[in-house]
Amino acid sequence: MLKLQQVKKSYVSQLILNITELNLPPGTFWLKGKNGSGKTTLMKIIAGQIPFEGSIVLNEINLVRDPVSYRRQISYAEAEPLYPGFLTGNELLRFVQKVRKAHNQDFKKVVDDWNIGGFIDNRVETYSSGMTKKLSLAMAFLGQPRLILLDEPLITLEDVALPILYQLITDRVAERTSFIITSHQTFPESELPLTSKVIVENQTVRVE
Amino acid sequence: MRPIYQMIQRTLVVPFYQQHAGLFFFVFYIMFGLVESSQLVNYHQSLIYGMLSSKLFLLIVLAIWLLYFLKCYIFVRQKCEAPDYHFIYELASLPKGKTFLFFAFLYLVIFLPVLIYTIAILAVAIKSGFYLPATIILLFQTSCLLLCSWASSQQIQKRHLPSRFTIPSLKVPFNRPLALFYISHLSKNQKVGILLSKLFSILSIYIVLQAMDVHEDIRIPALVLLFGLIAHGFLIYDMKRFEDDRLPWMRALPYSTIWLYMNYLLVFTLVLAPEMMMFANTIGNKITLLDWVELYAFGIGFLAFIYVRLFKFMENTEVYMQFLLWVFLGTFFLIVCNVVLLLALISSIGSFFILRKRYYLYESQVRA
Repeated sequence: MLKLQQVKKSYVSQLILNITELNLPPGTFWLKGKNGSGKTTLMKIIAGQIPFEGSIVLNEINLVRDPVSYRRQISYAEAEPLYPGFLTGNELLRFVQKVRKAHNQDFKKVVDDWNIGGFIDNRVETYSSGMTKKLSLAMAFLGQPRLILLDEPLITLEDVALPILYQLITDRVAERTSFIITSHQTFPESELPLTSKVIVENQTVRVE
Repeated sequence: MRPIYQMIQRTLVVPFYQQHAGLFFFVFYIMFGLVESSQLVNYHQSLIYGMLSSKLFLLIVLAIWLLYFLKCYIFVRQKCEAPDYHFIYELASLPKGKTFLFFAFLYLVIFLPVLIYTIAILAVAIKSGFYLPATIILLFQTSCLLLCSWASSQQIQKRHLPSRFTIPSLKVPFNRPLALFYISHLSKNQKVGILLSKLFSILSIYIVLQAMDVHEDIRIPALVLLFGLIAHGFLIYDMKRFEDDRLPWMRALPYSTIWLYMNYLLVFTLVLAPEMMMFANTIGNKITLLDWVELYAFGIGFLAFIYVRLFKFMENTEVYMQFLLWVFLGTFFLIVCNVVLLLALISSIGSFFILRKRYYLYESQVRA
């Protein structure tokens, strides 16, 4: 599913990541590592948000050679999302729907799934961090991406929303969507079966 | 107390000057760059005599200063409200007088560009016997400084009290397309910036159009438009900052660079609409319809060129300012050579290719 080769990333001449090779089959992966190990950087690289050296191929589509087709297969929910405060959640979600060419029923489904209908027409600047997190997760689940990247999805999310998150991931995995998730909290394996763990340390990654 | 002054300087003063570097560059250019160096002293003396001797002129200057002070106050207020600035509320544990003094220091430093010029005004006023205008200016500046310091210290000290009044916000009755994200940002966060740049460009266009004879060549309106476009330099910079800060999530979405570029062009079409409406009023009289189309295309292409170059210069405002100066001089020369249409085509097409090359190579340092 996902192949990384000779991926390097530096910030101001400091090497952050140097991944010779990483091959991930379809599944659900827990990306683990200490603070500052480069988990979020790796997520952003795979999402196509930041430049890097090397090659990333998702389902035979190369990020560098065909960036639009690659991005059509992927979605990414940031750990601490920031949106323009004057927009409503509805406007943001509709914008993503339009760009991803998602159907109206997909839009309605994520609104219902994440239970955001009550505040979606309010401006984002009025949202709590938990509401913003739900909106960002709804945006990531909108459409039919083949790989969803969730950076710390559990933080700021209320307890009652966690089983919903696990269930939605399980449903999407059954539809052959893959997940890479970072979290400092442990996942209950009974609710969210993991394919394997990907450990980020010493500027590289290994599958456990 | 020294660490507190240092903290205020690093978290409020430096960001203020960084964020408004474009505005200062523009004002500095208008005040000192437009006049020949040998005429500079005479020019400023005349300007100061003008404001000391004419009540209307003085009123306009006070209104512009008031706008600047308001901009400073709004900046500080918004920063203090931002989640990453909540540490500022620690100042509430100090005695009221001390909190007030810290803010007085802050406003003194960020009012500095105005205050320095005020010293020159007061010197001329006292030397020439304009005591009443000098007293008015002194009282006005001091009141603004004290009022802003008081309001900010109240914000810190009394944040547990509900706001006495709120400005109702209007809801847009449709889903905004991407271009309107930028326009909404500017209209919400750059009110004073928009007012200043539009005031300058529209006034310049008005004066030149009034002085123009019946249909001359396109170079005169193109040159005055160029001055207006340069006045938009800091708005363009702020738009890019907004994109880096609030729209990085978009980069993981599947859109093409041509789609993005068309959205940028739409933003600049909307930004230049007031200027182009003024030019449109003179179609058939002072310019032709073709001239108008050429001017609009030139304006959009020019702003697009500045914007896409920010994918290279964003982290270095000094380089950006130098770039603005050089691009202004180069464009000025090309307009004089009467190649406005060619300029419009080259800047529009060139901007697209720059965007295509730089877009995915660019990485904002805002949140890295």
